[in-house]
Amino acid sequence: MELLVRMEKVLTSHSEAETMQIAAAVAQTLRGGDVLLLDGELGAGKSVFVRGLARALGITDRITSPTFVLFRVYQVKYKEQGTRNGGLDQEGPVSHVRMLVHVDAYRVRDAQELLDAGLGEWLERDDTVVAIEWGERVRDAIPVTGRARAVTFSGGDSTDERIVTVCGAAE
Amino acid sequence: MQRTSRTLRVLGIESSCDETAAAVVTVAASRRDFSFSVRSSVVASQVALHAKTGGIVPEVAAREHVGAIMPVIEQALRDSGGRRSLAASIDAIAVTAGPGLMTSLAVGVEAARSLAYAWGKPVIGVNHIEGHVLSALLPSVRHFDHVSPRARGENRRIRRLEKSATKDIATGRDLSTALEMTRVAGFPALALVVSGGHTELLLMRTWRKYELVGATRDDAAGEAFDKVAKLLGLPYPGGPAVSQCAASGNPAAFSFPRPMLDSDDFDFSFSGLKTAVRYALARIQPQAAYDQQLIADVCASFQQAAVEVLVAKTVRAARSVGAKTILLGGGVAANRELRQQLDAAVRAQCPDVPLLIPHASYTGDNAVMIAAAGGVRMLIGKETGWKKLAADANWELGR
Repeated sequence: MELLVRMEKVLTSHSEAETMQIAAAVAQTLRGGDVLLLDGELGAGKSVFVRGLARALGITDRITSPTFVLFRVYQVKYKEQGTRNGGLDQEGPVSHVRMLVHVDAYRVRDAQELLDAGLGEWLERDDTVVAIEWGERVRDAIPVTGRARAVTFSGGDSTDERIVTVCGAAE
Repeated sequence: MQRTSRTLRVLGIESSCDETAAAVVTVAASRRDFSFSVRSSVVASQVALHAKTGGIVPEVAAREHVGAIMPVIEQALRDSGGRRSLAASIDAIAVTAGPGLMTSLAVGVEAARSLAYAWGKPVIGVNHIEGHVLSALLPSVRHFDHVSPRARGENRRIRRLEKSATKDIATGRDLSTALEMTRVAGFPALALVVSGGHTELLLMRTWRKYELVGATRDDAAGEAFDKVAKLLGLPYPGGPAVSQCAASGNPAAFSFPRPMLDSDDFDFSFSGLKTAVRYALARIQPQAAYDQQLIADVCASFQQAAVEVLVAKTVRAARSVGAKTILLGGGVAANRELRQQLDAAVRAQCPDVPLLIPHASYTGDNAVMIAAAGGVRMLIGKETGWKKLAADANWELGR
């Protein structure tokens, strides 16, 4: 699979809240079928980023770690989104995203294991965004309907500062 | 509840994660209560296998389950001292249908469906978490002696019948002895279920009726132990490794955060605690290899932070809901500090509420708890039936 690398945005986050804001901005550009590959060390902000995506999509459920079950599926809620992020409504840029799938590829040896566990049906859908933590491990073998985009997190060993690089954030 | 006393001899099957387990438990319904008698329990563990890869590899886990499932079931049936036909010796089948790893769950569920179809037996899908909740009610429960006079009376009803030892087919070691007991759970009961995949506070109004009181908002407590172990280069599974190192460490050496300790709800968060451990390690020794004492101090300080939050929230929730019993379950329930500190806190803050803690062999995944939960449900309600039975990786109890 080819990554969209034409546009690369390098952002700095100083807190969980800022990481979630970056995620919210990325959420505005999402289309159904997109796959986000999230990479960075333990504690770098991958899960926080997914929580930011979820909140921006109006999802209010707990976004708990998918490590144990490999992936968790959330339904996008439009009505709440309209009131929460004034300006985003049914006609908004992400209106055709219906589901968000949060994947943890840390424990799998190859993409086939994720497909075996049932991820395949979500990857085929054009109304679903799939966010994969440790995406680097499976990016070559994941079938992508829409666009594949990489978000990498670095830094953060001794401070709250993170460098978040978003590839293919815009076209 | 049934008016007459009824019993079911239940074959339990568990394969939601990295243990393949089967057990035979006789579940008896009396007027107010249930009693459980463990006939056999067999657990084939993949821990040694996954230790090599530093965690569970789903595809490897599923393949191991496929290889182990029938021998484990057959062993459990034979150990149970049933009649000559293995099929005739049980009345019903209970199997973990979720939550868990889909590919692992499917192995147990399909085995249960096939046996139910072939033998013409009722079969029920059980929630893994309900199994952990009931594990503290199972025979050979370790009962702390600070219970109220009423509960102490009930405690006397615990009968211990030494039976043939049960064995771990992976190591050949004895797991536990089969014991028998009857006890009355005082409702409502509050259960803390803590494992590698779950951290939940559940209110049990009565048998089968659960409400989620609180849960982790990110990582499970056991997952935090695994991740901290990884940061320190300790082996998988992280829980036992961290608590072993913590024994010689100073729990006050590092002041790690107590996430959500003072929040108004009963939720937990362990993701930030793991990140705090990472910062501390990077700050103190950016390059050098960690020495033993440092590792011990980090483990002890981290464990203390995690245990403190678990204990404080559980006790606060118990008081808030007016719990008459507190139950502990799940893999992290094996942690000594958690057991001791929860016991001390319950003694101090809700002295009239009995705290029930499962025997160590029932803290990890096992099929005894699944047979027990399935038996209770079948005695009060209905079977699932092999046609409808299906694995559900995200099945949530009490939501």
